[in-house]
Amino acid sequence: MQKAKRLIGLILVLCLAVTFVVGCGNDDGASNSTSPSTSTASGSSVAADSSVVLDPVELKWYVIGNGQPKDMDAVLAKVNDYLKPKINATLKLSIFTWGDDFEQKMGAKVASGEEFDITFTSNWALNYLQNAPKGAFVDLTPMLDQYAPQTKALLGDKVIKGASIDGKLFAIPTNKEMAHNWGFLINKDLADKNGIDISTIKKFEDIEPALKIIKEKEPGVEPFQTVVGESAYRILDFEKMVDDNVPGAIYGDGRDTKVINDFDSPEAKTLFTTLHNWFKAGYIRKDADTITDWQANRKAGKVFSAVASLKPGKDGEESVSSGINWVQVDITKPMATTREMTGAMQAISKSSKNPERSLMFLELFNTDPELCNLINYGIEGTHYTKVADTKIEVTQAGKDGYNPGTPWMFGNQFNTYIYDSEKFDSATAKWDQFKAYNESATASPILGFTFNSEPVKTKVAALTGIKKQFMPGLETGKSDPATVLPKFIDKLKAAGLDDVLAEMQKQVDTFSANK
Amino acid sequence: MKHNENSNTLNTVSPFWNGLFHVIFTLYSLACIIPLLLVIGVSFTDEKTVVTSGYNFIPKVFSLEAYKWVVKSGDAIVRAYGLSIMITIVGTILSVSIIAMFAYVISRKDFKYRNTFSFIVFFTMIFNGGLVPWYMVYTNFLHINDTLLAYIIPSLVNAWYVMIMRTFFQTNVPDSIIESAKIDGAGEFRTFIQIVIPLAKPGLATIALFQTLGFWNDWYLPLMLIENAKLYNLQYILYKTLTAIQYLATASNMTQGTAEILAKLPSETARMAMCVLAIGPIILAYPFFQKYFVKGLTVGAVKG
Repeated sequence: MQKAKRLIGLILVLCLAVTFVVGCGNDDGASNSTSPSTSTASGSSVAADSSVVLDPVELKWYVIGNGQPKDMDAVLAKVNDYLKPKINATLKLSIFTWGDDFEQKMGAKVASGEEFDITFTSNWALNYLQNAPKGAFVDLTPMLDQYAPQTKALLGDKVIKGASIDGKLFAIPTNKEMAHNWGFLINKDLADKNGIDISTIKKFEDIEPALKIIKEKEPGVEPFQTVVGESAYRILDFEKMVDDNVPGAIYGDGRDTKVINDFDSPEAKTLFTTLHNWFKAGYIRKDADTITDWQANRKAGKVFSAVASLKPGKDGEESVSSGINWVQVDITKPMATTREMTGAMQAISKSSKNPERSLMFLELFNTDPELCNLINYGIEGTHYTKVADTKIEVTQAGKDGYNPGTPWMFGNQFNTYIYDSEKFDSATAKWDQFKAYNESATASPILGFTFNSEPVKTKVAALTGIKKQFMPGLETGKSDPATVLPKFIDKLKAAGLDDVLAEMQKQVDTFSANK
Repeated sequence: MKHNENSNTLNTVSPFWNGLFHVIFTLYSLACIIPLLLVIGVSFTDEKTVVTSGYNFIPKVFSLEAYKWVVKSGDAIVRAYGLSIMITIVGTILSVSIIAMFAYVISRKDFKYRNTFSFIVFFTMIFNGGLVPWYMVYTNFLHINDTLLAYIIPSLVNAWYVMIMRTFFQTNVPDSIIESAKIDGAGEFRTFIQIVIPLAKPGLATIALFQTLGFWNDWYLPLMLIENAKLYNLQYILYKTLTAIQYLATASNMTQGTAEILAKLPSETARMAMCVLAIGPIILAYPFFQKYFVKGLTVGAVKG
């Protein structure tokens, strides 16, 4: 009797637990599906009101960076003085730290539907491509014309298309360099010392004679740095469907939209062979396939050259930060791909009560240099001093108190000042080069496409595992491609490579057809 | 030969095993201590030397730069240090009191609903609501996010410690003592405070040590619940710095300014100095608890 009672009790508790869990799940789903309609409804009503008079609101804004600066409150007070008469809003900006600090906090906020207005999002932090389709962010497409017409014009169709998902724009990309190219970063001091003429380097193999000289004359220096992840493989500039870990790409120069196994391409084979020869010649360190901290040796001046992602003035930026005199050599042509478009953006949360005002703020932030520089560099005279019209020097108070140092992360970088230490005469000179770079970039034929790996999820995971097994040896030149590469390819094929490639091709074709 | 006749003969181990155990535990202790010494050594080394010639136990170039940086970066770390100490003390006292009271009540055989309450505690050990509901309880319902309470409330009661304490009370506090206190006219509170607590000191000290360590080492609660940088504790600042460095070193998608950002983070030696400082007070806690600790643990283990 006693036992039966207990059993019944236990069953009841379990039932309760199950209904609780299920109930929660349903609730979640319901709130997710209803929120869009409510937010758009309130959107239009406030929009009508806003032309008359704006209620005061507070906008909560979360971004990624070096953590909350000490003088944030002082800067925000200035920002708010400025915003009040314009859009009757006050701003509460929180800068979280790279990595878990931002990811976990924002993940919890988004998942729990906590109220906030604007957040940083991108393809590498608070993943835009995953969160936007899940309904975390407000669809801005219908609001752009009314609340952010200048931003829309500023970014242009190419960028907006590239940042949209199924034709809907869920976040405003930062206006910055919108293309990438690959090339070398070369230690200029070592080059000059050994009489190496950098101007002769036009393609990847051209650097070999220089490596030979460094190997002979500079013991203790890595002539060519290629380590796992930060590897020379990227010079081939394949436009990857998933990420660097998964085979499947189209040629990065935009020649066609045929998906191939990039590891099996003739270019990859040539590159692996070259690297293997360099490895045997001692141009690449013997333990390169186990190294992940590539920064330390660069900073210590023990690296002569490496493949890097470039943009105008990249060498200057690197020189300032590492204290080593770098010079860049561009090898590939600038390309504009989805990756750049979604590299840094601000999204408006579904949980925001004031999506219109948030967008009005972003419009102001993107178009008003004063506001943009205030948030990027702090208060003039306190945190920085102007040395020229658009060039600034950060003061000690600025270094200690307010120095986010991430103008590429939000707003319109073309409105920001530049540091005195940069190699440009004025900000205009720098940004003109950026604009020219953006314009010279070829748009990828599948700009705006993102691969949905859901249908082939397990196979993608298997392929990733195989890549991590073979690629470190190949990309650092340690493995001989003549024997290892065929094995690598066979393993990939056995793990379902062809199905994955077919799925990629199918999605690319569908995208191209609907364009 | 003489000492063979010693009355302890039965309890001694043979010289061979004795020697072997000494070697094993010496090696084990070294494995624990050597990394610590390395951290201390690196924290006193000049930054440039670390970059060029790697880690050394004895600094090649001695430097106090790292500690100067910690002091200079000033109020943030000093405040975090103070906060960590305060949270640990307040949190431990509160949580041990609550755990002890709860465990005592469900250990009393004359308490009618003790099985119900035991079950409620036990239930949380097996099932939990998951991260998002957990987060919502603290932010939307209790509204303790971004306050110091967020460090304390979520770890106030630990079901496992309640179970340990309950068993401890049951086995170490005979019913007859409680009964005699009652006959002498003591009320429930007086019995608990003057009779039961002194008897349960080893158990309480064990729980207190665990909780002290728990509060001191906690970085998860601030990760989820604290936004205001002024309320970060020391462990979280350390955790945040380390994950940020790892993240930036591997975030190959982030094309811009990684090197520039890394340059702004604390240097290798500064991180080591922070580690050394973080060890500080908690090392002092050990001797304080030690005299109860061993007894408490064994009692819990054998009879629990």
